[in-house]
Amino acid sequence: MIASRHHARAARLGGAALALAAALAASPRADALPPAGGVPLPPPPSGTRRVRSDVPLQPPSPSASLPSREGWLAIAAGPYEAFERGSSAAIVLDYGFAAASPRFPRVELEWHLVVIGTRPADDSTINGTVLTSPYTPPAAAAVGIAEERAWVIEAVPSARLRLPLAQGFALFAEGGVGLCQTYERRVEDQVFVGRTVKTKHVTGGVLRLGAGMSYDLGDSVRVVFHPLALSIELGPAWSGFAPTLGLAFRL
Amino acid sequence: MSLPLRSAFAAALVLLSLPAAAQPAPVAAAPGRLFGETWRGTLLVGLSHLSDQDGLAARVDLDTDLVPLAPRAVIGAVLSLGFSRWSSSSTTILMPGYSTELASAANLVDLVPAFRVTIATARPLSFHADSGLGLSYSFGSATTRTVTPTGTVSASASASGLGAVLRFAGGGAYEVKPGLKLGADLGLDIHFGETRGTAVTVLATAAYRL
Repeated sequence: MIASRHHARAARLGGAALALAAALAASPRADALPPAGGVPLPPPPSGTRRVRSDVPLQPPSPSASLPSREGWLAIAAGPYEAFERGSSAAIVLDYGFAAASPRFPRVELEWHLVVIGTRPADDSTINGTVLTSPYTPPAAAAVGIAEERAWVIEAVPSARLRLPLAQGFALFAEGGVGLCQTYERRVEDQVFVGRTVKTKHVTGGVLRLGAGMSYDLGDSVRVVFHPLALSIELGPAWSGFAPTLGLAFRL
Repeated sequence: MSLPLRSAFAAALVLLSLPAAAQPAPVAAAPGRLFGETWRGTLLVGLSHLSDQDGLAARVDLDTDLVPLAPRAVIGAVLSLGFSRWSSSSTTILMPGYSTELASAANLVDLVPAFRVTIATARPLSFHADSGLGLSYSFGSATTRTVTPTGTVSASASASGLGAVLRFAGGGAYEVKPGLKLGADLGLDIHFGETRGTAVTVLATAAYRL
């Protein structure tokens, strides 16, 4: 009983195989196919209609499959307020490019290299204890002045998260850790001591935190406003607050 | 409410909601929106408080909309030209016939481009917040005059300097008639450089559509 059922199934499979082989043999070869334009398209689904497009199809560019690394170079300027140590103008050069951020599709991740140059200056009074009379106790008084000038250069690789809020407008926050180099010169002029000049070069780390906004003026120019920017130096003592306003250009 | 009445009410609601659902309203026609106006000029006059001194402040803003942020919020740009003046004078009488008069005045001119977010809560009422960074120029003078029975000695000094100013401000405006808004603005101007200090400004505003 079971054997006869297997024989019947085998016969049916054999017939189907023969029919498929015959169909394949009767079909035209691939190089003999008519051109694609001659093949009629299947009818559109119900409720839709076919629309002729005048826009020619563009061949895919070779770089389409690769992640585009278009860079932006920004130059910005603003004040640099070193905490309790004077202030100066600051120039900021910023090169950045987009990185993939698949985890947060609404947020764009960018890598940046920020270079800041500033020259804060501070003038202060040197106070000392002065004995004005042998009959009175020593009193505190100004005994000189001190002038401090420093070149501060920071190079900070940082990550920036951009949140586009509207067409061309985005908020961003960034943070990074880098290196800082200072060239400091301190001139003191004191009573009974004279003029002394001290210089020192300090290399240290810097932690940069900031937030701001950007607006695209066009396809290749962007206004970047950085109202909150903090450089916390580890080593040099010229940590400061540096809000900047600048332009970024697409490279 | 009876069933036919409820059905009619529901049908009316659906009919009222259909046009809005079918196509979005144009940007400039949405109630309470500001987007679509090209330029506005605003005159601001008020007080400025800096280093324990109160002074007068006047400002002219020119602003425009950039992009709509939400149905009732717009991001714009504003360029502000401001002038502030603080002055004081005092007279100290040391003894009869001897007195010292001290008069000082400080002036500040600032030019600040800023981003502005405007939110229209209702048609006549809107609020804004500014954030900008610009330049400031200060100039001032001080004069002392000492009077003694034998004569008068005067001395004066003046100084000027260039700095930067970081501005955070916010305020509101009420549209009293088309094209005219009256309101108030509260700002924090953080000065750097030669004009170091933080000024708090309270200004009354009158904005005209240009």
